[in-house]
Amino acid sequence: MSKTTDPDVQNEGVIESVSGPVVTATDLDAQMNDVVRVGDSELMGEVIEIEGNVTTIQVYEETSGIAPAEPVVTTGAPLSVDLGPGMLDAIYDGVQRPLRELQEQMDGAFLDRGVDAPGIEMDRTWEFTPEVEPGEEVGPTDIVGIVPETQSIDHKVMVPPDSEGGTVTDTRSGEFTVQETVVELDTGEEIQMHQEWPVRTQRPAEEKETPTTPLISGQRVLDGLFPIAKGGTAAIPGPFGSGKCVTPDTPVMLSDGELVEIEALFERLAGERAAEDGEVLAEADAELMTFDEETGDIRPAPISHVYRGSTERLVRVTTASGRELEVTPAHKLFRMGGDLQVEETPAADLDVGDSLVMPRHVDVDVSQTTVDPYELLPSARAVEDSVVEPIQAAVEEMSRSKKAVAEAVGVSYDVFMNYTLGRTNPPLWVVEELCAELDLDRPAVERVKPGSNGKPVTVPAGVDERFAELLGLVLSDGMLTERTVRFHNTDPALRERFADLAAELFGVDTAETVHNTVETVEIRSTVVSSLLAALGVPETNKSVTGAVSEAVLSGPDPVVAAFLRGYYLGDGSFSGGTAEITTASEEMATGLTYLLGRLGVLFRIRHREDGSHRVTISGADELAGLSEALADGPEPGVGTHEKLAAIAEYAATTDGNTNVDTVPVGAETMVEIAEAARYAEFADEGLETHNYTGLGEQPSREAFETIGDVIADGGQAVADRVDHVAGMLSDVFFDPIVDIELVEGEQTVYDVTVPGTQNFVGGHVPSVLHNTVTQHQLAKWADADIVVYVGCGERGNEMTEVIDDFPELEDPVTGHPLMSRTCLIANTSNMPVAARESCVYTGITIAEYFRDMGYDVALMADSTSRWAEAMREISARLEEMPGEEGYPAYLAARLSEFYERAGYFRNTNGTTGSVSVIGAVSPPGGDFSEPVTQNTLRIVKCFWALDSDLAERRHFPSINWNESYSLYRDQLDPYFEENVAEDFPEQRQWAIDTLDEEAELQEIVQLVGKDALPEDQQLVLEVARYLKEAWLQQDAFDDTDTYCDPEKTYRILKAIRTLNDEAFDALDAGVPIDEITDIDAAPRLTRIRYEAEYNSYIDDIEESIAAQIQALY
Amino acid sequence: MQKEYRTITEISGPLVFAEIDDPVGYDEIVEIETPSGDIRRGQILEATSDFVAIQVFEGTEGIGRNSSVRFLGNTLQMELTENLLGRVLSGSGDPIDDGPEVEEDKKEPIVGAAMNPYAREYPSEFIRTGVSAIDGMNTLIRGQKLPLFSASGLPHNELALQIARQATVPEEDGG
Repeated sequence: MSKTTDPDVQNEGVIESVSGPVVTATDLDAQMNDVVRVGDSELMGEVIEIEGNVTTIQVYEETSGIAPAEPVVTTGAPLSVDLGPGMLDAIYDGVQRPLRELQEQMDGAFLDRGVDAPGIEMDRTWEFTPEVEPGEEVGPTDIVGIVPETQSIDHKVMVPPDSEGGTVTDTRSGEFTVQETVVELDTGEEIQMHQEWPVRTQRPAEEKETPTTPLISGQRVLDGLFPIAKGGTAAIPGPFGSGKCVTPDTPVMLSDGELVEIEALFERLAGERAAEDGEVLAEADAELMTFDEETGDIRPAPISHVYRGSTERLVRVTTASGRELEVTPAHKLFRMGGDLQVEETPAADLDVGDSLVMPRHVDVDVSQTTVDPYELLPSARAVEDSVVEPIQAAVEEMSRSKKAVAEAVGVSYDVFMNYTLGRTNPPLWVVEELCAELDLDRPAVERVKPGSNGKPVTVPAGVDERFAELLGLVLSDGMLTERTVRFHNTDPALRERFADLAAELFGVDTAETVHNTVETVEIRSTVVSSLLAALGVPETNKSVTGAVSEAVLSGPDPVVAAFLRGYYLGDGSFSGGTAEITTASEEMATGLTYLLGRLGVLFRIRHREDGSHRVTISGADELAGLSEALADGPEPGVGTHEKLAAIAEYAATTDGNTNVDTVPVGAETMVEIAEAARYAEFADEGLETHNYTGLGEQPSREAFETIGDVIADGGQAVADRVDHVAGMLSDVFFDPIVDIELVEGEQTVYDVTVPGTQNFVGGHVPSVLHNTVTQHQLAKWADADIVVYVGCGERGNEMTEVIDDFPELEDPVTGHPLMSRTCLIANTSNMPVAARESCVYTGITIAEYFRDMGYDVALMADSTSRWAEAMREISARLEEMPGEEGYPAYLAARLSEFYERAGYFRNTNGTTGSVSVIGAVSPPGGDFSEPVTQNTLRIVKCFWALDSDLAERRHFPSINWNESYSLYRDQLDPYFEENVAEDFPEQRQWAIDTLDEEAELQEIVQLVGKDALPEDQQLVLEVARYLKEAWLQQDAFDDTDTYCDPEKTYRILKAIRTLNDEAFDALDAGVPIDEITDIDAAPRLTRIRYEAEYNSYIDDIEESIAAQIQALY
Repeated sequence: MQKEYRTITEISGPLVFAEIDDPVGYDEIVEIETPSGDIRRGQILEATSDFVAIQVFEGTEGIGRNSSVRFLGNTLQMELTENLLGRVLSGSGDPIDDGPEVEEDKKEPIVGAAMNPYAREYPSEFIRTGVSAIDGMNTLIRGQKLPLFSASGLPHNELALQIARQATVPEEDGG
């Protein structure tokens, strides 16, 4: 569409007037809907009205500064899109300008005017394979060849629809650009891969057929209740999408013991992508600790992705042990049910009193952290001959000039000579530079001194137990200055201990002084001080900013224990059977709890109002564990200091246990357990089962293990469960929730993906967190071959989310990126209005092109309300007569014209393809009676009413079953009968009736309460509950549940029907309703959706339901 | 070369219509000088080859058919400089604080270009306003737009000023 140089002025006119996006021109010989170039800056516009000599043009770009008398040039062609390979995986604006290329061309984030780029890359080559032979007859839209466009989609090259066809005379195969001829016809026509089509004209097809195949979405509520046909139209009110993760400062434990905030982990692993703003899902390679539900172990596992997004509310869960988890409401945590089954439960569904699975013992396999003097103490001086001499020798022997080497190392020649002649001791950084310069290995350094004077100090080779203990002492009760390391403590034994450690580790003497009335022992050594500083001991404000050194966190267990010992000796106290450490530093408290987790010691943590954090350990078992871990005496389990001995002594003499380490066992399960073994057998082992069955107490870990032993040969099912849980106990424990709070407000949240177990050990105190990934479900759902997503007048930030998100999503069918079968069209709310009007046409023309190839295409338009508003604006500028609410009178006609381009077609070339249109409407103020919604509802045959109430109740997908409808049910029934089950429509009708009845009953329940209802109606409520929980709800973040094939949809429904039928039979036979609803098998219905191999599972449930209910009468 | 017209044909509310013989661009800025020497500014709402419709910013009072109209040849542009900080400006960007004239570093049209959605970043930096009802329950994020919905008699400008005064981005402060 280049600017014409032809002197023929026929196609060049002159601007007459300008008013916003509407421009009139005179003397322009253009046809309706021709694209014109307006003004000197060549803005793109379209002819929308011709009256005499005056042509009215709507301009797709900002018209400021455009003046009358500037030229208007027609391109002689209507607004067209470029069709050909290269459209998938592309992002366009409303007139098919590729945004990615525009950004490069304009070299900036803003869209300049008058810049254009072809919709498909004209110079990229594609591999073309002909499908026709010379001599064959081809007609319009016949497929002449194939191009593998993306991993997922083969692009079919067709004869243009407006061609007359003819006999093929020549075909070529190989690599071609889209403009090169690949097939020649005897009519002289040359066929290229590239073709154009005017957007406002429907591409021709042989015949529109009644759609009879459902667009399977894998969502039970849609496929089961409100199916849409391939080629159908549907409307959804409101926007889509929501998120679920943890907050940025949540620490995560890596498999080498390192503790990182998830934000830092994200930044580390996401690399360049971390700099991107907005939602990011990046591939990542790292290992962290995860809880394996199958085996009940905490083990290392690789992660595949890290994620960052934002949320509007969080749930803060506080547990009895003081763990606080802040997660998004949909984030799942592991709940230990009363029936001894671990269940993944969304945080929003948790209740106070539920027990969460928490790590007891995190076992990491690591070795001691080494101390590299070159890195940590670069300015300390080398003293050992073994370090200095080889260098002096090398300098003597080298062939290079000493001056040059001195310069390369970065010291003056005089100083350099002093070093190499042994007059002064060289600093380590000089040694290192010199070695690098002379290509020598760095000599091992064991001793250094602070300056040319000063006493030599030993540098420990690594952070071993002694070093860790010293660090613990310093961090608890010590402080650093530039020249000294002080340890303040009134206990002479501890000061001596500190002095001994200093002497052993560094070979330095210590001095006793008094600072601020506290007796102090101090190491006067700049080297030691800077070494500790380099290992992370803060010089100021230690009490608030102190943290467990990295070297200790990623050290082996004895080092961890030694640090805790030092810290406890310095700052810990023991009284009334409770060992306690208090710190004002949250990071320190977090670190300490992780260390305790490494040692398998259970603790509680309290955050006090004054900002301090109190970590306590109590109960005989845990104190014994603590004392054993901290013991440093010659015999195992004996501590040398009286503070340690006190714990050991208490632990040995008491059997008092706390209620920290209990196993949540429901009374019913306990009865089962009790029935599984004889009462006497428990009594023999000293267990009073009545405590647990009648008095509501919960067994301690020890008691629970005994239970396991006793019933091992009793009821096998219960024994297995008990056994499974007992097996977990070495790695995890169960922590009851004491408080749940909802925190509102937009926040950035993070997540990591752990393939397999889907969780990781993290949190401010070690906890097991579940993770998930946001998905644009709608696009992911459909079994369409191609997805065209039109973002029409959406807010820029939301569009960014889509643009960031889509390339990251994986196609559940092929495993390729979802983008490889997707085309995005974006016109954000601040982009020119006229282009918004055209963007839905651009989208549907692209959709029709793929339809012609025989593909099933799903087009999502979000949102058609913004599109209608664009029409309203243009219409007002044209001074047209306004219709309802100012929308043009032709609103309904345009809407139906657009939706009518959807359909199931027999194409001209004999293939069949479909375009399904799913339009979002976002009526202002949620008012469904406004014209756009009303006109849309009149056209579409399927309406999925998103319901914010349901979303708040965490019922997902939150499609309201009472308000939604689908008129495709009848025409799709034959498909379901044939491909799924004979009685599918009948079962569906039953589900609809039951849900309707439930809605009516709920109104009564609101007034009089559930118990006032007759038993049969109570049963309806119960069955409806299963319909909602086991069937309609679907977990988009569960690998299995995210996609549910129609057979499974049917079978779950049928299983609930079985419950319904059996239950009503039993009720008729006089069985009380409580007994019926209490059967064990029924709750298992809600688990079906997580089962990949569902058939046998459902068979089993159906049998158990029948058997258990029939056993009641 | 600026032409001055005395061709006003119609004045109606804030709108002034003038005949022209040289074309003027849409959205351009116009100066109208009243017989008393007052200068009013306006913007072109509709430009045709023989007349223009001008929207006058400061009111049409005092403008008559013998007023003169000058077309400045550019769209409304704002003079930009760091020194604008601390100044008080009128709605058309002129200083009204009795201070010195603004010496601009550059001029930019007030109608900005649309942003390429592909180039956008997703907003995620928390703005701390120090107003707990906002920070706690309705958090502001940098790059978002949030209107204050007010009703008559409510001190929305006080709140807006308070937010403007106190807002910080902790993420940025932290490094």
